[in-house]
Amino acid sequence: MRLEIEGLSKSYKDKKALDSVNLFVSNGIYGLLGPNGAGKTTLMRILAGLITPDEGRVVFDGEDVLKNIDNFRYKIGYLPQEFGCYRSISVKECLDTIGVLKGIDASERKKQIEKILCEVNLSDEYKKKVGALSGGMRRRLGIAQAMLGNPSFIMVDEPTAGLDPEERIRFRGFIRKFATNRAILLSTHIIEDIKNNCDGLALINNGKIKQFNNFEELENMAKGKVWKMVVDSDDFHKIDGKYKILSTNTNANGLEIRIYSEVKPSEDAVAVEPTVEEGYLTWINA
Amino acid sequence: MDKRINKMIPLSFDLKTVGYGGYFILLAFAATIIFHLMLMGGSATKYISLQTTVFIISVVGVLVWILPAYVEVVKPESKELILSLPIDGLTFGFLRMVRLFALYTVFVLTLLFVVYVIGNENRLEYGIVEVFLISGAVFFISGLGMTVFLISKNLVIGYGIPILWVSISFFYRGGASWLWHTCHWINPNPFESSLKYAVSHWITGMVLYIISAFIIKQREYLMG
Repeated sequence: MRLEIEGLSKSYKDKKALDSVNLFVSNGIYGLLGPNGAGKTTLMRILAGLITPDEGRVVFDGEDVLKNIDNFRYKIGYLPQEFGCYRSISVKECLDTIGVLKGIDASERKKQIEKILCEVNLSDEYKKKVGALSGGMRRRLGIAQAMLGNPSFIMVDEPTAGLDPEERIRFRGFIRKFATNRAILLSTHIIEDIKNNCDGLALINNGKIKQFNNFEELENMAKGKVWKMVVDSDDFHKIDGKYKILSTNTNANGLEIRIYSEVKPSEDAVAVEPTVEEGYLTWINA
Repeated sequence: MDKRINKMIPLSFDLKTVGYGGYFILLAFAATIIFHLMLMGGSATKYISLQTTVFIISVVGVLVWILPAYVEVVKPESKELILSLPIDGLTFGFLRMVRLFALYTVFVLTLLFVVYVIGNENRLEYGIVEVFLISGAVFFISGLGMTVFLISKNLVIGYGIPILWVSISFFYRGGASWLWHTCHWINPNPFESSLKYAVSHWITGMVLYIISAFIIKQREYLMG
């Protein structure tokens, strides 16, 4: 599977939501990381055929999908940020209905639903009304519906937002399990989702996107700009505001802080290896 | 991947999505019948009053029957998913609406026929033209409700405008309703023919159904 996005742009009145976006996705999990309002959902919605871009191309396995978006819809699975449809029917009926809308045959649908319910640990809840599911279960139902029809490309928008840590870890596990022989584009503003799960990543901010080949490449963006030092509380207040403090950690010697600075902030400061978060902050603030 | 074919949502699913609205219509019919036949006494006009009330409930009730089936395409928490699916205006929109309309209309026409039969001679006419007129009124109001609902993306407006239309038609006896005097059967305009109203309701209803099916395909508009 190969999905190539070339020069995609979209504006809303004066605001440019996407600005000549280029992205390449193949089999595996691709993280799309960016702050709220960066353009992630706009990109997802264009790929899901919900909105039309002002310009640009989306090529899926050699085919320009924007020219035949109806056909492309059969090949994708999409879990939007908001998933609350058909609350008055059961989990199984919900999947069955979505399966019908995806054009899957009755016998195939039955087989797939049983398998997917088992994979997302909802087999015991199949009779439960969708509206009665917990937030985590509803997300699992969401990924189950995206998997129906065996799509080769799945998009998941902010899948772990609002989930508790246990459910978040479980959800990441499902995503990993489903990534075999298909591409999953996972949009999030939570760095943990990307760091623990993705094979590739792209950062998006103010409608501009940058794709990274690996996490080291992102970390290297902050190389030589992250410093560690130990301070007392008086010094901390002096430093805070003057420099961007990335993290603090209390230990026996005082307060150990990591600072973002283009230049060495103090004689005591030591340059350290940056993390993914620090690389991300560097790119976002660049 | 093979090209798949759009199929109709199972009828059982649609019946469930009607939910409490369906029970509400049945309850309204039952209450009307009980009131007229048991509590109203032996008045000569009670059967006409019963036919009138059942007609009004039928025409308005079709909104409660059809609109909830499409609420998912405008609700913020569900529309993004539904509209990302390969739904089309014909099977998801037009044919599904026609199926719901047909089922409902068979029920109300049967109910009105029963009321007609038990009404002896104290009743409104109920022949072929009247069947055409009544079903046309239901068809037009359901199409109007769907179109207004999808354009406004608001269920209350989807109910409100057609109900307002029925009220104007009833109280003004078609005076401000032009070709669409929906209540002509129960409160006729003496200067116009039933057939003319029936035809105009059917044709306009069909146009409104087609417009609704077209709007369902306009994902960007519904997303906005």
